Amino acid sequence: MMGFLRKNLILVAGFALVLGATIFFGLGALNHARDYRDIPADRDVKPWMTTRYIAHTWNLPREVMSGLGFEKTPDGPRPLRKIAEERGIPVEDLIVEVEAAIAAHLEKVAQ
Amino acid sequence: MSETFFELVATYGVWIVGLSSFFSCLLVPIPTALVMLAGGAFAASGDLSLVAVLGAAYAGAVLGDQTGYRIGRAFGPRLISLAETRPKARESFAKARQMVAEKGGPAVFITTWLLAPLGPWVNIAAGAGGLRPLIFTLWDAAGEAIWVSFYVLMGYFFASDILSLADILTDAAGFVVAAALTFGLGLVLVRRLRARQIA
Repeated sequence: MMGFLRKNLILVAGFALVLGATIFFGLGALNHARDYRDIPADRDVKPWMTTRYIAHTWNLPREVMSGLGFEKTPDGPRPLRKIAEERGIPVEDLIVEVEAAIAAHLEKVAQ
Repeated sequence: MSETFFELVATYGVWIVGLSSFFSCLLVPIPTALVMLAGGAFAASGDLSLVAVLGAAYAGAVLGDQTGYRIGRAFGPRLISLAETRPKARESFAKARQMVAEKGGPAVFITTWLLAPLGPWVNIAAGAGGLRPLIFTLWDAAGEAIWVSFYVLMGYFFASDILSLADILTDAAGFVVAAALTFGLGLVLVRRLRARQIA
């Protein structure tokens, strides 16, 4: 048996490697799937999101985003980071603004 | 890492989708699955057109595969003739080429979607091994339709969850490829062990 292993060293090493990778990716996928199931609906606003994407995700009516002055911007996808750049403010400040608008809207809906 | 690619799609739109699917079919390590998820999600939000996202991803993938196939066709035979100086090597190359030419189609098909990370290699091998252009194109076009519509539509229908979805699908894709390789290498090992016991 040792002779066989030594003779096929590369093959055996390759097999061990891909077997390890199978377990690694399999457990990873299961873990992520479990995280996904456990995460409640409260998501964060991120710099890569567009105003339309935010409206879609949080189920916001048009007024909420246009209330922040996004209405006047040209068409085409633009992430928050780019909008913040154009306004000359840090993207974090814009996110705070957007989150406040979402929270205010959700509160209004709840009433 | 996912978010960087989402932001690229949010900034440059369908161009990024097409370019990344083209270059990922040519061994450039771009997570095109994530790019297609984002394309689908931004189509759902109304930032991009769903038809444009699907079209760009599909055109990029098919053109990328064709390019890989042409590269294999152009340079493969020369490389093979350099490598087959020994008679034994010549024999195994001839066997491999015959297998590619006769049974390459389904391999091309399965490596466009289920085993997508292996796709670029198989395209080059298909070109080098002499798989007929029409056969290659038909199997490839069918497979890419599955690959592209799966990820773009997942992004479209689960737009709000693409961040979590990206993590799950990336690992799941890695799992399928690793499991297939484990199975393949395991089969070779078992055969060699058996041959040894008989001898």
